[in-house]
Amino acid sequence: MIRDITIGQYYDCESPLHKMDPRTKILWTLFYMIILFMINSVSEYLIVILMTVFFIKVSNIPVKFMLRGLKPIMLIVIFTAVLNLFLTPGETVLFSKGAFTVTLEGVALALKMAVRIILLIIGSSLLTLTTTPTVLTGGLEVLLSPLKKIGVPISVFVMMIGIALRFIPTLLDETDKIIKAQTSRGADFENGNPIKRIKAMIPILIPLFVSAFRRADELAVAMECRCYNSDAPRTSYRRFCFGKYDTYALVCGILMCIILVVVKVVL
Amino acid sequence: MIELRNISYSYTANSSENTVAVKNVNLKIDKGEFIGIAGHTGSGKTTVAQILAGLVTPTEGSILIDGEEISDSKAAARKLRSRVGIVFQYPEHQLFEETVYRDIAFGPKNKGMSESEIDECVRKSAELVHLKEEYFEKSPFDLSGGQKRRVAIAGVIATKPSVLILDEPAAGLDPVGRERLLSELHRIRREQGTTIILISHSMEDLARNAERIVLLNKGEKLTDAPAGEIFTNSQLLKKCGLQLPEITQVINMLNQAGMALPENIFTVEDACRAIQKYMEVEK
Repeated sequence: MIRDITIGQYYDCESPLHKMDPRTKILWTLFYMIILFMINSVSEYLIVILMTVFFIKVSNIPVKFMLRGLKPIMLIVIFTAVLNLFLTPGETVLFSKGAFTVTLEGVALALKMAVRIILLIIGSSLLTLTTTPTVLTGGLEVLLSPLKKIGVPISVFVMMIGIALRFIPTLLDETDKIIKAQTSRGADFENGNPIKRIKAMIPILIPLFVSAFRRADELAVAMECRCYNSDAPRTSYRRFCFGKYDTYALVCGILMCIILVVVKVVL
Repeated sequence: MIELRNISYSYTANSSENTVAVKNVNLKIDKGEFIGIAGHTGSGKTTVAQILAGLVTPTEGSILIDGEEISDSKAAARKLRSRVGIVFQYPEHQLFEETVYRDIAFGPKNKGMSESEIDECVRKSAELVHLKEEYFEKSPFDLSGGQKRRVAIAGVIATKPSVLILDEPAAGLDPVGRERLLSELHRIRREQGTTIILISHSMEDLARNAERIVLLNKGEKLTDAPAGEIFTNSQLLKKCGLQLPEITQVINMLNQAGMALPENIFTVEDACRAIQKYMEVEK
């Protein structure tokens, strides 16, 4: 179960997407999200799905690996779909029993929401899967640097994101170990009613928080020992170069967004 | 009592290819034994321990409990978990309760023991690891590192396992704490008849304590022999990236320099006695 969580992880392999400039990828992820929330009709959905399939293909990441990463969020997808299914008012009633009414509009909306969440997760995980955390935060820092002029502490923000990404696998390993240790002491996480199961989480969560705080404390001391100062001006040895594919990709993304906005506003 | 037959375990890590952690391991564990498992980092020690504890399901091979093969992997895991207790590396990281007493009682409570049984279990386990009753109402997070570890080990002993696996239990303890912990293990074994499996890098600790040592290398079992046999075979140890106990190395050097000391010396005390005896004869 724990091994299935791929959010924020980097997948090491060779591909055009891996080689792309992180700034392009970050901007494209933004475009992708804008596009995703503007589309509505079935044909538009099909185009975005095809686009996503193309991206996965280009990234050289096994489809199986991507699907495995979706497993942990399936609960959220199903929950959203079910809520939409029952709570959408509409004219064509398909099924009605007591307080539950299912309409044709509800079915359509539920499906759309499910597909939208899945695409959203795939799109954003493609960014982290093809970009190492250091490169990603480096790109983010460059992109956000204009905000420094108005006094936003960008380097602190970027450092926080970098540390958070860095600690995801560490904390997952820690969780796995704690679950095993408590299982060996007879704890049961799989059976029983929901309240019992939530209660069973306490022996996992408390040690996990304690260790997260301990690690944070140790990291803070280690950073201070090396004279980390968030206000100090710093340079990076990493130079990002913008290739011609980066330009093509960005132009494509901007054009798609503009076309969609124009079409939606005009209609 | 517990037997592993041709056990293999592989998993899919971040890359698409399979990583083999354990390959074709056979292991038989009898009641009351003191077994050492040694091997280099990544040799599969921890995975074998987790398979024995019913926490990891092997991808191949069969598990026999009391001579009976258990084919259903879920049933096997349940049976193993009820019999085998495992103390992970840095076990103090698993503490969570408000008081020491309640943390030790967590295991027995899960096993469905009655209040009086739980109380007896907690007191007995605390006593076995030399944890005084005055600590019972304290928060485990207020204790020192060594005391926290005692609480965590007591928490595992309290489930009354017939096999107790300890993964580097002495890591990070000072020499006195180390000695005390190891002697406590012998006491648990003597008084409860518990089989002890000690996983360690420290050849000294294994030489002094274990009767039988299992050497693992790259997921495969290299040997399974009495301690005396393994420590007279430095070639074999070198193959796994391990070394003879330091005192045995000293004895070997003395022998090369012309002394005639017995080869099977693994503790400083034995070395002392042998050298004294040798000196007296020489006089």
